[in-house]
Amino acid sequence: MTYRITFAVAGRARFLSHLETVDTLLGALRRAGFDIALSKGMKPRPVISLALPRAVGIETLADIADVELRGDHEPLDVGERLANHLPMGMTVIAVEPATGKQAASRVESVTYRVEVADDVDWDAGLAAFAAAEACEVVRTAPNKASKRVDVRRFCTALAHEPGALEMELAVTDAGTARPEELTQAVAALVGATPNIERLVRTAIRLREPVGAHT
Amino acid sequence: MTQAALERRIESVLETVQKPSRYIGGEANQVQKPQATTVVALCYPDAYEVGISNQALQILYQQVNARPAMAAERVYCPWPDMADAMRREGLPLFTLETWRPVREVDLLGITLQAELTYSNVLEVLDLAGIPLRAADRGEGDPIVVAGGPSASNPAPLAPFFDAFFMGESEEAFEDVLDAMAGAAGRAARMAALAENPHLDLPGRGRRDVERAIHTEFGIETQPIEVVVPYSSAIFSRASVEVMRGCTRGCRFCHAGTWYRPVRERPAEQVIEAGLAQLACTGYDELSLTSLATSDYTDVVPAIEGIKERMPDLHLSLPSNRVDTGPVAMTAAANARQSSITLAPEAATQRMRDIICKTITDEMIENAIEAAFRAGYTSLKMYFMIGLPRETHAEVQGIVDLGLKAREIGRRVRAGGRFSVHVSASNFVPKPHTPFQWEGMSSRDQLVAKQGYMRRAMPTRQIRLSLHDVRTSMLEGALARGGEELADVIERAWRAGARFDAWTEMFAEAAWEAAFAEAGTTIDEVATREYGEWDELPWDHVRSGVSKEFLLDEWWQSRAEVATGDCRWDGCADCGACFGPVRNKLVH
Ligand code: SF4
Repeated sequence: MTYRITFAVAGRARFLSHLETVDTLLGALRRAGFDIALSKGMKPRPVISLALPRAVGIETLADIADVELRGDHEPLDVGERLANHLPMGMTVIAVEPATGKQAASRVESVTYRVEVADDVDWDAGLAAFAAAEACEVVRTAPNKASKRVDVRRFCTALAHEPGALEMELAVTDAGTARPEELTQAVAALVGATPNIERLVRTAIRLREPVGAHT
Repeated sequence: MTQAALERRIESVLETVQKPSRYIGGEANQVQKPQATTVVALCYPDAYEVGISNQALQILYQQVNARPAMAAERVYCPWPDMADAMRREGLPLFTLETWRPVREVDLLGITLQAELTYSNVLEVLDLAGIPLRAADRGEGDPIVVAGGPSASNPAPLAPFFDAFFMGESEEAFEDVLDAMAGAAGRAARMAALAENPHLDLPGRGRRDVERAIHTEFGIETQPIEVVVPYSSAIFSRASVEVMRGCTRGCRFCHAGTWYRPVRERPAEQVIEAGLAQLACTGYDELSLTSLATSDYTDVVPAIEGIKERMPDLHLSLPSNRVDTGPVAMTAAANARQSSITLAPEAATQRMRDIICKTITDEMIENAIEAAFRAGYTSLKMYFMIGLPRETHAEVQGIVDLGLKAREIGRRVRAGGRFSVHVSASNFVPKPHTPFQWEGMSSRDQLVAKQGYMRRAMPTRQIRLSLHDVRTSMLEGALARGGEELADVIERAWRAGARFDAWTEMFAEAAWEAAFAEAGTTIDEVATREYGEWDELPWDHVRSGVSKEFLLDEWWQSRAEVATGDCRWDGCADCGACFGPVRNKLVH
């Protein structure tokens, strides 16, 4: 049976990479006494997928993992036992039976809270951003040519409160924007460079109601 | 700086470095004891992913933490990007458990598992803010103790350590911990350690020190709740040490002397410990470790007992004898694995007699055939080049055996896919072995032999890997060098040497210049031969195996005669057994 585990990563655990996060979840489930289902084929692997990878250093309040366990367990029991075996900084938020397509193929949007220094006129930046048709940033990646990305088209909500920007970014077939890119783009509209103090992923929204059959 | 401020600054540095999980601690089974009155930092002077799986440090971690008032905390050598950032930001080296500065601990234990980590020892001390030389340390500094197999020649690092602990920690290190708990302050503690027979104290002059031996080798010293590394570690599996020591007597092998005699644990204890460790680590693989697991008397009942309870478990048996029985056993233990490793070490009978590797051509060929018949599609074979009295025939022999393995693979696999991987490392003579008097083969010879193998070995279905001659030569120089090397090591480190075992990091020019300043070269020290009557830099370290026995074995190697294994062929009087210390087989 496949379970959808919603979990948080905070504190030093945010320095775990995506792969390390997956391995840490698997190790904790095994220590909790669960038997993880293996894929078929020559090299069987545990059946687990995360809705979205998390960049090293970003905290999350609600990441999602779909994992198949052998046997039937009460979701509450899975959550309680798993919680006892997670390392410092990782916590279980909820466990429910996962039905339908895996979460990884259904991510509609992601919300972030970006804590920033208030040395930028954010309200002016937000107004300029709302008025702009497009807002390009230069995306660089190691060993790849840099490219220009319009981050405006991915932003479905943006608000400012003292010390933080709250934003929702759509995940589409054409890609998505990174929260730090959006923050930079907004600051650039008022000629500023932002000072990001903390980045927290607050929610992942899936394309159809969780648990619906397809 | 307050602890909270230090932690905030560490976190901001972690935002900028590669693999920050190397520095965060917090793994499953980590022990935190903020109230402990005595803190022991345990350091493996290499990257986290290399050091975290080290079994000796896991044993010490358990041993120290078993004392209510003592805490063991881990330290690894920060990768250069982190080290540079720490220097830039003025951050001290910290332990993983509490992020406390290493300089504030009471004892810093550094394990010396390989000579190519010596520059990292200085890197660790410097980052910690501990004076490099023991003579410059004061009351506020920790006592810095070395351990591990390479401590058996303490000379090259002597000025940098307060003490070298010789041998196995399980029983004898208790006295060191007692001294730490019983006295306060560095001077009083050093005084309490002065009479310890297993400690070499360079600051107090040369005297004989004895290797400590864990006589009982009971299962209670096998760590169960081991720290589970984040996924980047080189080994992510449970492991139970089924046997310690090996008396096969391979003449190149340091461990073959240093861990004598043989001690085994009964199958039922191994099974219980293995299952318990699997349960509390969440690993899906278990390794039954030793220097030669197929020699372990209870190997079959141990495998069967574990398989009975966990049929799907991935069981690995490292370091097996080259023979059909062990190949079949390895295959039965782990049906998922597609590759197997055999270590004939030398390809001709003559050379195997010289090095005392008592296997025959027939056994090797049968083992290769058995491996392919068992369904393995990748066969790895380990050899050494540059062994004493090696001729062209030995090097050609490796090429021929590679070809032979391919021929057997083609016949047995009958058109199916397979590959042969031949790996040849460069022989480095080590202290406390019968080859301790031998000089290393010259750089030119090794390079020429490697060149020949590259030309002569076909590439279809055979992969050849050869070790970097430059780092092997340095390893050779450091392994059998004397105290004169301490200045060389310090100079090389000051000129940028660190992580020497990582080929991409190897600062050859820094080492060359450091040796040149001492009026010598890496090659001169590495190829130096010692005479029978020479006083060796490590002669005062008593491994238990007598110098007479080693000398006798050296002569036997020149006569090209192998010596039998004392477990089955009678005692060869090596000196390791005395009183309660003796080969202790389960049956
Ligand atoms: S003293 Fe004899 S029995 Fe003991 S390890 Fe040495 S050779 Fe073997």
